[in-house]
Amino acid sequence: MKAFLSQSRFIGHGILRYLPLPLFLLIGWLLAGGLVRTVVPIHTQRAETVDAITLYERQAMVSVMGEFRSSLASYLWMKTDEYTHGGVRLRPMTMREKRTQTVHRASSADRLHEHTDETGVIPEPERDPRWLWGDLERHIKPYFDVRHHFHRPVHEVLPLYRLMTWADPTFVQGYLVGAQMILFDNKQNLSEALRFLQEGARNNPHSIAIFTELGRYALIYQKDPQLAERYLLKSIENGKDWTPQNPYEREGLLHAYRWLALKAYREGNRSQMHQWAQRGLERFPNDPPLQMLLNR
Amino acid sequence: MSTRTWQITRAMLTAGTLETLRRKELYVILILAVLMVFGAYTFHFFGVRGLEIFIKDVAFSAIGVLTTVLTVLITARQIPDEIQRRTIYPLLARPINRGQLLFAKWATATFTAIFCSLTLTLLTAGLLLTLGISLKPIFIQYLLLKLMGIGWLCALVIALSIYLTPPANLTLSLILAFGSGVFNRLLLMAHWESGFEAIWVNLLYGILPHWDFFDMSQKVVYDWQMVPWWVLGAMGGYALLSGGLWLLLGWWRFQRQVLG
Repeated sequence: MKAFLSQSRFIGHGILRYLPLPLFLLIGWLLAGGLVRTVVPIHTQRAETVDAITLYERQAMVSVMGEFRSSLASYLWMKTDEYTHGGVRLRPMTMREKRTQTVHRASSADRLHEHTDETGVIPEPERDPRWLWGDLERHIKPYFDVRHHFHRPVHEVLPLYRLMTWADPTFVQGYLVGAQMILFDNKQNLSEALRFLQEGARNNPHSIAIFTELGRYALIYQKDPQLAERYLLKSIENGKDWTPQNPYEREGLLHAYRWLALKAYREGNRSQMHQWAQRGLERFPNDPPLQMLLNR
Repeated sequence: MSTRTWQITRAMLTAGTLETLRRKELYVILILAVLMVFGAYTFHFFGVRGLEIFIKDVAFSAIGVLTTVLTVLITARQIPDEIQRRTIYPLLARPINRGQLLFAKWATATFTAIFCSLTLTLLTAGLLLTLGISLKPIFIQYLLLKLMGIGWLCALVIALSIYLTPPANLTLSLILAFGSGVFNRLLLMAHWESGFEAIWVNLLYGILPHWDFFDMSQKVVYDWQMVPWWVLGAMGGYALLSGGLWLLLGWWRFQRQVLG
């Protein structure tokens, strides 16, 4: 009996020793499940409604998470470039490289990506000072000649645009380029691209660039000048009191003036064309296309 | 290798592997890797399709980081632990010289790290296959290169463990491993921007660690074709030469070191 008791105590002690791990896992599992149940409804509606964003901005916890969200979106943004190049990494050219023109300048063969003053991170054999090391790196890491290169199929990167705008619905460039990519993947996907942009407009009602892009789509693809004008005017309204430093928003404002002047030109309304060009030049004095439109 | 060295190595291999399993580091890392892959896969539930490359990218990044950390952790403790526990004295009281001990410790660390890395990689690969994400034949070359790299990294860390205190060794080894790509890039930039001579670039390239050269994961992620086998041969040569040199440096100091 004594032996049995001591044995059962030993067994009990043994079980207790190993109990915390499964218990911890079980509690963790239940906790994770509860959190997912709470978060999923908000996350799924987040990209669809402005209210969800407003709710997020008012909650302290979400404010803390904001940094994380924008970092994740920026990371995914960076990844899209890598994905379209099959892992080959590009970098901006240095001042010296631009001046001496000794590097291979990256250029797109399929017009999917615009490359301005970029070159490959791994150097081409002609200017690589490393002997065997350079050859090894070009074999071990993804590498191709960046001049006149092709890109991987667009549909491979589309999910990343979806993810980054979910992660951070205020990530305007994600909506702009994402919509462009949806259309580039298949010309029939216009409605999908428009839906994506409209979602961006709902989440960023004060954005300039998104409304300019919607105006451009309305003008070029939907052939609806009235709708285009409404979007472009909204864009100018959003940028009337400030000139953004963000290059996407800044370019959006400039393009809004250009498109409105061009629209007037197409309609044969020269006075309105001059008016928009003049107003655009007041904001962007050195813009050659606007100057050209003004002098027409 | 003499029979004696082999016997010592075998005994230490068994003890080292059991020690690693006892410490449960492998389990933690396996759980982390599985969580990361599943974490990436959960986006499917949110209606995002076509994330195969993203999931592969996350999976192979996780393998890369976890393998590096695990290898450094396993190797860095091999000799300092023996000294700290004073078990090195009965060991050296036997007819074992310090060179044999160092080699046996390196072999133990390499074997254990390879075992952990293989488990981690094969489990992740299996998980990817289960999720319907295929891997191309270059995966085999990736695996071989990684294994060679582990042997090389173990030699570097074990040599540093003779010269440095354990925390300093851990820090420096991790900096050298994760920063190897950056140092190499800096050398190139110095050549182009400041006219740093090509001969010095190559010499320094030979001396600086190249852990990043043992990582072909990006090619696996983007389904590239297999690389010529001479590349693996050359990297094997580098691992042998450079790793041997590190062990030699470690041995040189270890045989002069006053223990205790």
